[in-house]
Amino acid sequence: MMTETFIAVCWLGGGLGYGGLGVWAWWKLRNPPNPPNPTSRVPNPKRTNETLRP
Amino acid sequence: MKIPSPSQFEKLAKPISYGLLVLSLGGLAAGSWLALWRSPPDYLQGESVRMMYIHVPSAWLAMSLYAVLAIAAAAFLYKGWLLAAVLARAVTPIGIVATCLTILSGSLWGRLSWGAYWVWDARLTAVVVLLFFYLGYAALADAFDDRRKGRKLASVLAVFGMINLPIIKFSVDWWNTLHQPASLSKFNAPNIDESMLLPLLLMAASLTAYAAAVVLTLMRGYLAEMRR
Repeated sequence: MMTETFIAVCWLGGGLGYGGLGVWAWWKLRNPPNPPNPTSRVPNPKRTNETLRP
Repeated sequence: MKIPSPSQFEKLAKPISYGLLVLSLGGLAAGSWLALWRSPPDYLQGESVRMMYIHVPSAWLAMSLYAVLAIAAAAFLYKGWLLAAVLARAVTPIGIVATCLTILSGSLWGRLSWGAYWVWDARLTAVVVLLFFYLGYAALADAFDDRRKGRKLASVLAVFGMINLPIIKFSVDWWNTLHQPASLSKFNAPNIDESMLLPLLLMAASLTAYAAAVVLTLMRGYLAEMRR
């Protein structure tokens, strides 16, 4: 019984691990993360000074 | 040597990944049927030998993917090819899954064969070290706001980790280990019957094709992410 259970765990783990990764890869391709919101960025002090300089 | 540009790569990768996916799923279904129902039990280990058809292909995959990761990392360090860095990053998740499955299936198989889930044997320990190299690469590559800096440091770690591959491969020959030596070798006839060899090779080839399909899909995803 233990042997059959372990074999089932191996096959199930393989299916879930490899299959899940394949689904995640496909999902990631379809839904790339949004770029960071530019308004939420901390301004670069150097650049701010440069733009303010007359 | 000329490597394809990211846009050329994307045109090629899409049909190749779909073709590999279809082939690999067919192969894995046929391989699983042969491994679970058609191949005979081992004369010594009995039914538990069926774990071999997950354990061994996963172990081969974990090691060969690490070789791909390290070569891609070296190409990125030496030539600065962006595609090489993307390949290295895309190989890492499936390398981690393959290594974890090698350890899980090996641990269960070990419980049935040796009476223990884990022993600090040279082969087993070297595979755990391989997992740490994969995790270290993934962590370092994403650890910096400056992605290029992260990729460079992670690549150095990946190249350094190459040293672990011959240790895994030859640990069973160099040291007195509980893990059995290789049953398949390039230089000798296989120590395994054809009825077991065929499903084993089919599972290994199909899993490799599946891994290539996933890696290509992940590379396309990372490239799309970079463009945004």
